[in-house]
Amino acid sequence: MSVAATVGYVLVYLVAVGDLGRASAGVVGAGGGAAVATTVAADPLARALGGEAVALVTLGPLEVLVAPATLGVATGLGLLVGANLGLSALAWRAPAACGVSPASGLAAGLPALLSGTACCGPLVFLVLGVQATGTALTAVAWLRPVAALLLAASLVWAAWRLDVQASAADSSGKTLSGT
Amino acid sequence: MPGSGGDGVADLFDAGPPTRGDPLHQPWDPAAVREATVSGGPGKDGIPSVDDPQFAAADEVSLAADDVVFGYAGADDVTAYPQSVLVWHEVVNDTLDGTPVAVTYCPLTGTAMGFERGETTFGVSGRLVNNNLVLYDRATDSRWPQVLATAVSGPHEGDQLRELRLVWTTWGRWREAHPDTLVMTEHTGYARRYGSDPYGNYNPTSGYYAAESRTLFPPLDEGWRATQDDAKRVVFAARTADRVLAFDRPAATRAHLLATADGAFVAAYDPALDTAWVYRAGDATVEPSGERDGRFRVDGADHPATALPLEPVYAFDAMWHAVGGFYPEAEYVA
Repeated sequence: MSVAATVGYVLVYLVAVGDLGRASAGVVGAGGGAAVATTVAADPLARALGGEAVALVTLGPLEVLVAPATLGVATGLGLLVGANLGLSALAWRAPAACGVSPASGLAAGLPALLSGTACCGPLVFLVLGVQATGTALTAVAWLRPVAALLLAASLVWAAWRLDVQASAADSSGKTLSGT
Repeated sequence: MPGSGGDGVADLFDAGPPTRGDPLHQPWDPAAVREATVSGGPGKDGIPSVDDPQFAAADEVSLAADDVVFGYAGADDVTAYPQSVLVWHEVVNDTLDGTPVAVTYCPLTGTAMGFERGETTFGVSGRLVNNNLVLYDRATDSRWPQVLATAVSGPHEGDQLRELRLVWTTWGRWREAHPDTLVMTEHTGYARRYGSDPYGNYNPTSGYYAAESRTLFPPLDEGWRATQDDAKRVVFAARTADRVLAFDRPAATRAHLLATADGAFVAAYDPALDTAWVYRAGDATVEPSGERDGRFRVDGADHPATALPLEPVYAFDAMWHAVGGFYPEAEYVA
């Protein structure tokens, strides 16, 4: 389940930032119309180091930009979401578990999904139908780090709860066996 | 003015783009424009200019007839720049008719404008003012808001760029008018999803480009709302040394000829390209020909909209909020 959650989060993240979507016919060349095609950027190493996409891959009706920096962020956040979900599920199955919900782990990953930007302005403002301000732009810039922090905090919380419950169950068992 | 004349002083300013001698109206103190400049999100060159554009013949491309292109038709070169490519780069450093130029496009103001660039190139600063792209030249790092075409900071502060007309039209119309045109391709050196526009769609119009939708950033001035409240209404904008004109596009399409209240300027609609050409009318009598076929009668003789025997004035398509925000005194002609 954790692996599925990680992969799912990465895919949703890529859609949210506009790197994954429906393939277009293209203007000229660039693999337009082909079932499987790859367009590699010039000087891909420099592009990768600059945070740029190094290739566009078309897979039938879908196309995806291969941007190492974006994929790294998506995978990092996805792993945190997956770990959260796995640990939360473990806690949920434990008989005495309380205060740990899989939903909290997932919710922590949401801010990063809103942080997709392109061209002149953060598109989240278009989606929300509000005007961008300096404060709002600053807030957008913090969405990804905030998501990472929330996910890490959620993970620590879930682990701590599990540990507490395990200790409680352990000591309870000792008491019973001692009587 | 650097680059505007042959005097020796110009040599002191030979870095950076060539600038114009005849001034354009510019109502703002540069400091006020700088103050109103905001980050657009991506940093400097975060939106990369295309510095080595590639081209293909018209029959080699798969653009739809309704796709928007920005066309240039000069003495030697006829070129179309697809909006779907420009929306990801905003600047193409090219050479047209032997002159180094920058083809620039700002999606948030709906403005496609060409500028001479000299030996330098232009890039995207990552800053916006009045929702408009702020260019920078790579020789001096002076900052040039696109619509103002005026540097508001850097060594060129106060200088103004030499402009060249780009025609905002559709691929079908451009190809019909110029079958021999070349088209800029997606081979930009960058990997982008060129078929997706992050802001909306022009075919049909939707998203940020749609009528009645709001601007992304607050405008410099909001007085324009009293004249026309639809921020995204498209106008044909023209500036002179002392006037700014905004010819309402739908009205021009209907009437074929719009004139300022004093009759000094006219916008002649060109149905072949769905654009308008602005002229200083002076004392001439101008009227559409009977067929409304893009020809106009000037002092009794017929001429095409592209070549009236009058002084042409540089004009460009723009969303109304961009013109009204930069030029509160703009005259709206409908």
